[in-house]
Amino acid sequence: MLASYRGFDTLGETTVVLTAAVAVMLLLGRPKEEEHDLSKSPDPIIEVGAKMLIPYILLFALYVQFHGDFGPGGGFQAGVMFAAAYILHALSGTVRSAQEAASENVVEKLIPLGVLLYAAVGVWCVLKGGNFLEYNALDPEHPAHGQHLGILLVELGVGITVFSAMLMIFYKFALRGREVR
Amino acid sequence: MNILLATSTTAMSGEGVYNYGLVIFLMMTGLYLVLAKGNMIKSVIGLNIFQVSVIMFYVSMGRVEHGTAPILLEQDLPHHDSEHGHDNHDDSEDHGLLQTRSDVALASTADGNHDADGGTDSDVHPQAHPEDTEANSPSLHTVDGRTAYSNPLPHVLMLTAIVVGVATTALALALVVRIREYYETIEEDIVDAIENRLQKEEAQS
Repeated sequence: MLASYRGFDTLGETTVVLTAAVAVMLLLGRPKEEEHDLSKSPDPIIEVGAKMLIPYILLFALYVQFHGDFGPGGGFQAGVMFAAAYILHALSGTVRSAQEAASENVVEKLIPLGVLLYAAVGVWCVLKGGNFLEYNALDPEHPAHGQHLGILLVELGVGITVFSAMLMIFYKFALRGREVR
Repeated sequence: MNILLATSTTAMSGEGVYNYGLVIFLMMTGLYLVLAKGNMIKSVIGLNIFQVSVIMFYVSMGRVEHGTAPILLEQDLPHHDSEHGHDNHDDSEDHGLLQTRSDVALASTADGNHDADGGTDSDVHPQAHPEDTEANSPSLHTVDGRTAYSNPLPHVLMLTAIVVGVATTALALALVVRIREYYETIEEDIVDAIENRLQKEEAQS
């Protein structure tokens, strides 16, 4: 819904998230020698408790993601929740185990993918004969359907970028370790 | 018009302004942290508190008296085949459902605004006698038979601010991590001292 009348603004916000993730990746980069994974496997109670919570967090994130067309919710919130589930996994186990679930290479590629999906929807609208991000043009017979489709895809792009950017920032900070002292 | 002026003056003197105090307190707390603390992490926290104060200020400005969340209620949905049950005539139609929804929401909030110049249509005076409307209204969020919605505009503006705030915080913390790796400290004074010493040594050699 937000993406309907504030499409350009949200595209800009997504780009800001992308820029932040890229900047953090440049600053913290890849650790020099062997990666420092200081997190050790904690209590089994914490591990099992977190394991029970994670599916529900993911489910709620999906609900927020796809409910964003009609009401409160949307890509930003859902993306952060998705990332929170993975970060909880990392905190309850090791960062290494979270990276097995979502490898750094994949996450790295997902960050620009979301922005590209968003922009591609805008270009698609142009090709269909509308203005940039004018979703009505996607389905000339049923403008409301076009709106739904456009917002769904755009929110998906936002969600992907926010999720992967948050997770990447967490990985970079967590694996940086304590090299001094 | 004089009703609008009267309500605005009572709001300025009454209890409805505590949000200003809260915002000023938060803002000064953040400012103090940024200025007085040499620890960079604390400075970043101060910046965040400062930012939260601005966000809360804007969000509290978006409140409309008796207003509900700015999500269009079922009864206010525009029906194309039948006339609305309310006196909610809106010129927007056939822009697609979502477009119309947002238009109606914006129109309703513009009418329910405190601003004297906010209401462009002169035949509607949503601010007429609060006790009168409360006695007559079937629902808590109804003013003169129309649903009052809070203003969604400050919220969406602040959403942008929050997103940018997260991004800048991540960047600031990354910089602090790098500073700590290089200088082995996050105290500004010590970083300054190290820099001065290095410069002097360079000048001597």
